Amino acid sequence: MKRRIYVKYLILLVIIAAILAFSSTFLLKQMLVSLERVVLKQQLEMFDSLLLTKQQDFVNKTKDWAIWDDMYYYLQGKNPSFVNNFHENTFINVGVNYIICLSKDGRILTASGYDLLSKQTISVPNDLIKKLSPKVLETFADSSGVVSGYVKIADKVLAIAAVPVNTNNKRAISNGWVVFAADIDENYFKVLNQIKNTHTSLDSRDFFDLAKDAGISVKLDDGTDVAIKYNSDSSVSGLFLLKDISKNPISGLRIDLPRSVMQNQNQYMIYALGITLIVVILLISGFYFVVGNLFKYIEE
Amino acid sequence: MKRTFLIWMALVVFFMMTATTASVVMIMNYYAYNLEMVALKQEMGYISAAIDEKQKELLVRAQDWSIWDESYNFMSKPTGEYINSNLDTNMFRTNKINFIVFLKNDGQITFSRGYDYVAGKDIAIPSELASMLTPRAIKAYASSAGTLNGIIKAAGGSMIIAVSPIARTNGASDSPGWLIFASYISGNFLGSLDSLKYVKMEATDISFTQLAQSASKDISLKVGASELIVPPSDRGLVEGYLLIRDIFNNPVMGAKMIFEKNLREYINVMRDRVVVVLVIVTIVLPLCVLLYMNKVLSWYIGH
Repeated sequence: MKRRIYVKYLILLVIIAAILAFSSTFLLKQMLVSLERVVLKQQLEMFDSLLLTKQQDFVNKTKDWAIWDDMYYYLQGKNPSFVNNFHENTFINVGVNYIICLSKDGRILTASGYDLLSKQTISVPNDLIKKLSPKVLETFADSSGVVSGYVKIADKVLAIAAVPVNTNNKRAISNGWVVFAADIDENYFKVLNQIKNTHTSLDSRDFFDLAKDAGISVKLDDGTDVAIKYNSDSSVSGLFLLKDISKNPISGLRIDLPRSVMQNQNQYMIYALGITLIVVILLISGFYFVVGNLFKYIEE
Repeated sequence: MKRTFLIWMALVVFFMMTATTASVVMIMNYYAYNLEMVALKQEMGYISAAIDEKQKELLVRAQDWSIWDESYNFMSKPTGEYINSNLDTNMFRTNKINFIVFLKNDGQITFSRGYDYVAGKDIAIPSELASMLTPRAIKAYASSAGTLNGIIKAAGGSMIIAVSPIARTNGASDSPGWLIFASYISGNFLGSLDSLKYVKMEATDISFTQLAQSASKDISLKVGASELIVPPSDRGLVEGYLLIRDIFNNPVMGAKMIFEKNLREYINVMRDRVVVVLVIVTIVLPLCVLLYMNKVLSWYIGH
């Protein structure tokens, strides 16, 4: 009879242990999942900020050329020697692939290209020139007349900035635009890829494929939706949708990040289960001590 | 006697459950600390990348100006036309710089100008700019391309500098000197990093010694070449000092960073929820045990 009671207590303890183990690991896991979402969102916000800063720097670089007496008079046809500035060294120094100077009436005064990787002069794709008509630039310009964003030409995505040309003192009426365009490639992401354990690259899939492939999405503070795909216990990808200057989706931008929270989850779970085990052993010892003495007292 | 043992039993279960709750709270506090440090380290990576990007961007601008026939000709024959046409105040504003210096190979300055584009007034060139950036120092610390990019400390505050050899547009012929772009960190540089979400940055005059003392008491993080000192804080904000080194690799300043994070707060909320659940279990389980044992003991005594 004593044995039956011990067995009953043992079953009771196993149930208590199971409840403890389940509740502590379940709650812990839920907490880690939520935390990972929070940490991930913060990282994606910072990445988004870096991308915006990079694009703003690109606009400022273009402004340096556009708001310049020499450029203004070049567009007026009064400074023909200005064309000497479009030397291959300029492309290398400024870090752009294409420079286009466009007059207000749509005349192309300069359309030069240079491949920074193969170090060869290249022609400006007609598709790019077609996309940059005065009408388009005026339609999609911000309040200061600047057009900034991305365009897709064939299988390449380019960062572009178009700035209205003006004199140094900005008092003239703009007579055209300077457009800088740069290939978005490994070189473009060089600094971003210096961030430890992260990698940024273009993802050529269209938006529907991106959304289908990704499990969940996160909405950033500026309203940007980022699809999240968990690759493994140690890696997660954020998939941004790049839009062109007319706000049409053109490509995905993928950033691979470490799962800083979940990659340590096994360690956390082992700690939690270890503590549960110790508690269970103490429980069993305590019960046997109490129950053993109980029988002794009852029998006496 | 039966009641005494029932109370004993309930107490044993209660204490064990309390121990579990306390352990879980301790583990979660430990996680909170660890996770916060992991997140901080990762965010440090973004901040370092942003700083690198800004420094490189200034160098790109300096190179754009220095490898140019007109700048090359200006070194041998400084003309008012070049100055009027190119070095007006808009140039400082567009490029977000405070100082421009044309330095000859022999150390003489062909032209220099300082302008505070925020206040809209001319400012004096700090003496450190000339004393630190001698031709000898530039050559000693320049990259293989002959450029120098980084930070120096001046009386008016630390500044980011970009030095690029002046050359013809086609890159031919010997360089007659260097073009130096410099921008104060406090007003412009760190401010531009404020666009990074969750981070506010401000320059601080905290010295290296103070930072080191602070680091010995608190937490010091190293991410690549960047070092961050994080004093503990319970205010839902995490403050840190990013140690910034100059072009000679000497520590020059701390950039105070305030991470507007809700991570710790979030973890605390989660921990409180877990505690509530475990407390409920702590009360319910001993009650169950009590009821169950009462039944078993009654049955045992009855036999």
